[in-house]
Order: sequence, then C-alpha cells, then structure tokens
Amino acid sequence: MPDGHPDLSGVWDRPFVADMSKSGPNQQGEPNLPFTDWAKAHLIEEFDYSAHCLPLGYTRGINSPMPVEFVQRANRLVILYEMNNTFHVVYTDGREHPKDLPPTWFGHSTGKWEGDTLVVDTVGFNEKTRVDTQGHPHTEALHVVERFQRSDATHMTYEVTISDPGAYTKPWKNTRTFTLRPDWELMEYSCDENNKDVNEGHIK
Amino acid sequence: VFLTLATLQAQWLNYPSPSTPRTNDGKPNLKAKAPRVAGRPDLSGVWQVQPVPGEVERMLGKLDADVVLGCDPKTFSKYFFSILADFAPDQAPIRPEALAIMRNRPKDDVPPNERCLPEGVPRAELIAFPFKIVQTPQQLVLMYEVDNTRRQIYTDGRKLPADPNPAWLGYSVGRWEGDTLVVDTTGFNDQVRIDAASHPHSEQLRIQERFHRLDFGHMELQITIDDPKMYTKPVTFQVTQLLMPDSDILELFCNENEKDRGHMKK
Repeated sequence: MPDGHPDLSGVWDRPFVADMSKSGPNQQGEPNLPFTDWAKAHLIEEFDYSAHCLPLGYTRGINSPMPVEFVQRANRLVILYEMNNTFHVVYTDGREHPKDLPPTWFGHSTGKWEGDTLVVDTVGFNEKTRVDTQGHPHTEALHVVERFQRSDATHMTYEVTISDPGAYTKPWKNTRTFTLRPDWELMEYSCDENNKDVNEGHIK
Repeated sequence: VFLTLATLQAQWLNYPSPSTPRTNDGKPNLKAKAPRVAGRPDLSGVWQVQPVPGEVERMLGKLDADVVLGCDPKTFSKYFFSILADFAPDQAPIRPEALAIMRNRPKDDVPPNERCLPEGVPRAELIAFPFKIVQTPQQLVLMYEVDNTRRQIYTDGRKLPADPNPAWLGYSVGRWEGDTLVVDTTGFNDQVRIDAASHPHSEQLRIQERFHRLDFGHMELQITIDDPKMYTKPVTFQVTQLLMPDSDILELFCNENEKDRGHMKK
C-alpha cells in the first residue's frame, strides 16, 4: 500500500469454523474452553437467531464458510461478508473505541499495525449472538483481538483471542490459515430469500 | 428500531475526523474542494440524499401520520416513491404491458423489502438513511445503512457479465468520465422493486448512475432507468447527496425486532 503497510485486500477462502474448540484443516482450536459457571449454564441456545436471518455477529461472520473480501485503504479496512450481504468497518486511523458504546451485533473495531501484522480490537457486543455455530456463549464483556499477517503471496495467518470474563475464566485462542482467491468474487446471499423455516412458521 | 437510532446518535456519532476540512470557527467546510485519491475524485464518505422541502407532499399529500422518529418520508427523494415523478400520468413513458402488471397485482401485495429483503438500487440511495462509500482504485464499496447491505462497484476495467446471475442489487461496473464516475448495473432479479410505487421492470433493466462530487459536502447523482420492455424511453432524474461530516452509519438490521411477519400473509 502507499502507506507502507501490507495490503490485505482480496477475496479470502477460510476454513469453516463451526466449533472454535475443535481443530481441523487450516485451523487450530482450544480443546478445553475455560467456561465460567455462567457459561456452563448457558451452553444451550434456546433461540436460534441465525435461522431467523438475524446477524451472525462478528466472530461467526469470520468463522462462516462463505468467502469474505477485505477492501483496504488508508485509515480503513472494510470486511465484506458474502454471508448475509453485510459488512463491517475497522477503523485504522488511530482512533480509540468510543466511550459508552451501545451494544451491537458486530461491535466496534479499531486496527493498529504492529510491524506487518494488523491487530484488530473489537468490543461493544450485544448478548444476542454466540461466538460460533456450536453455540459457545459470550456476554457483553466479549473482547475480540485478531491478528492478521500475510505469510506469502496467497496466504494469511489469522489468530483470534477471545476474552470474556463473564463466560471464560481466561482468554483463549484459535488460529487459522486463509487462502487468497484472486479469481473469486463475492456472490449475493440473501438469508431472507426463501427462508421457509420462518415464513411458513416451522420455527418460532 | 427508530427510537434506538435516535438514542445511538446522541451517544457516539460525532467523531471529528482529522481529514475533514474546517472553516475558521472549526465547523466542517462543506464547500472545500472535493478530495482526490489516485488522480480521481474520492467519493468516500457518508452520504444521504438532500431533501427537497415539499416535493414529496406535493406528490403524495399529507404524510404526517407516516412519520416516526428517525424516519420521515417527507425527507426522502420523490423518486424513491416513483421513478416517474417528473411526468404527468398521461405523459409517463410507461408501456401498457407495465401498467397491466401494476393493475393485476393482488390488492394485498407485499413488497419484498417489507419482508426484510433488499431495498435495492436506486431506492437505497433515495431514502433518508445514509450510505457510506469507501473507494479504492479497484472498486467502490457502498454500505447502505438500510439493512446494512453491501454493494460493490468494480472499477478495475472489467465488463458487465454477459449472463449475470439475477441478483437483488444486480452487478455493477464503473468507469471514470473526467471527474464523473459512471456506473452501469444489470442483472437484476425480477423481484426487487425499483420504487415504492412498484413500477415494474424486466430482466432487461439497466440502471446507470453518474456520481459527481462537486465539493467536499455535495455530490450530484444522476440516475437513468432503462428498460425498453417496460418503458418507451430511458427515464433520467437527478438528486443531490449531502455529506454527513464527522458522522457514521449505524447498525440497522431489518430482522431485529421484526414483528410484521406474523401479521402478514404467508
């Protein structure tokens, strides 16, 4: 990039991480999640929000099997998710998180460069999402730190640290390898289109 | 939802950006020169259509009953309601086939956006909700606050696909003509509505948007709707987009607190 930072732009193929405690191709999970008592009591998801086409939330967005596209320019990194046609903006202009953040589905993200690694810090989540498809819970205290580093021309290492004293007694990590797909484009993905589960009343 | 919006705005939507030009009293200088990037005007920023006082009510009558906090249809562009707003009914360039489609719609027709399906082009740029542009040399990303929907306009020289997948937002490519970004979009599906009057379109629909940033705070947006199957000639109109300095778009997901669905026909 003209500003001297690595360019993370492009369409990235990522492992589908349905369960952040498991390991698999291109991803290493934390097998012993340090649940608090609150988390142990909230492992079962009573309301399947994603089936209602509600937003996946930040960590499930990056866990999702469909590609994401990064669009980087000075002071901004835009994350475009194929899933649900949505987006998220990471502010890399040096600002801090606002005080009194209203809780949101995707939180508020700031990014700072540590050498060639972009470190993205996200807080301000609501309590309506889960950290993964498996349903591992979190509270509004969820704090997500991600480290993005281009390892070669077509790969990026990704490390995410989940901190949430309400749900986990200590921070835990998940690491992955992303693959650049220069020939791919994001497709349109409308969850509400043909959502028969909801529209025909099969689920509440 | 709208109540929440008003509350949020009070909380954190005032980030004085160092890149905002300012007048001597510290206020954003909306008449400063348009910024440029990589030799082109930089369209990046948070934009919202400029209301034209009275134009919507002249067309639709009193709308005070439809106003809710944070969403006032009187501040939408009149073209949100009808792409044919500039024509007397008997002079509108619409084909009889299109009029028949409108006549034959069921009385309880529910436009898809009321089921949280995409608002689409050009409505999402004519409604009184902002959208954010982030421009790079390869593409423009449009992020509509309405249902937080992404749209990509490729400016890397690629052509429109010959056989696009029908999509709610179509497929968009842009090219520069001087300081104007000319965006052509095709590949619309047959479900999306191009205006609130539900004027019909065919899969031949082609929409051209011409973005011209006049200065820091103002951008002309000229829109042409071309669909020879439904209209006897292309329909062109123009609106002004106003920059919202030091502000941002908010999270807005249609499905959150969506209560209508149970009341609507399946």
